[in-house]
Amino acid sequence: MRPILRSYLIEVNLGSSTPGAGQNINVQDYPQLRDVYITGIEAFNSDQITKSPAGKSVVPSNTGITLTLMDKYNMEMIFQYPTSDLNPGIVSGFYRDIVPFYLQLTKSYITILDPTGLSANESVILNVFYIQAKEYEKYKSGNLRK
Amino acid sequence: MRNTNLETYGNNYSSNKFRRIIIPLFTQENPLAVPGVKYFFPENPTIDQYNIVGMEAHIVRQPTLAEGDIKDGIIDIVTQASARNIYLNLYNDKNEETYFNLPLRSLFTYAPFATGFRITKRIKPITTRLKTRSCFAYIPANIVGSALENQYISLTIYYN
Repeated sequence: MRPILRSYLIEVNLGSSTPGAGQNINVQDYPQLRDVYITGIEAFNSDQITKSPAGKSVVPSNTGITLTLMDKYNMEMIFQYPTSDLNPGIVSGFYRDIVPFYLQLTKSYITILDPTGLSANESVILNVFYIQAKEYEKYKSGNLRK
Repeated sequence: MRNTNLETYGNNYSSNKFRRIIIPLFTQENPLAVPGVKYFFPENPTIDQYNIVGMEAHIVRQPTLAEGDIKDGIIDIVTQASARNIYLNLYNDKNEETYFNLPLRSLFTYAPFATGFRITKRIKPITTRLKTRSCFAYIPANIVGSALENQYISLTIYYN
């Protein structure tokens, strides 16, 4: 696992009604994550977190949910990656390293593949590891694969 | 002594020193952990002057659950169920909030196993220089019925 220089916890709320299969839900804007290179990410379910900082219940399982992350050129750098594989509690404590790319969070989204077990107003919790763009040159050598 | 645990457990760095710290989730006035209140880390000049390369949390085993890695007869350390409600906010030496709402539970990992649960500890490669007196833990304000009384968070910090 690569060094984690900064992290920011975000949540994606499923909305006021239970989402249907195939529905995409965009990630909201987080000003702190506007000008950053993502270096890694992890996801959680209610085994690890009971309530989000905003007070929402956390999804009981990640298995029916995938994540798509876009870069600033609108490229789907990570396309429909199963969020359960981002959960350290499921993958022996590891988190997923990502070769850093310039994240465009507001065009990134989760996809509900199977809503079984999910309820309205629950949140998917993601912890984004990142480097600020202004610090990227300083730290990128430590985050690029040799 | 050179600790190679960090590399063994999947990290890129090794550390020369490590130190366990405890953070009280109460004040002299109120032994209960109040949701929404920031509980600041005790200032730790030793840690403040070194580069941190890893961090892990320690959790007390609960009777009905198999996970846990510490037992303390002197102070009460949070259990796995309590840890699910606790977040950490860590500041660096420039007073920047570098780790925002880090779930305490994410610093203690275990994996389901056929016969129950198995602890698969990974030391999270938190890499920074902390300003401990600015760091704090909190329970979200909307959590009701928090019954934590005179409880502590226990963290081991690996540094060079």
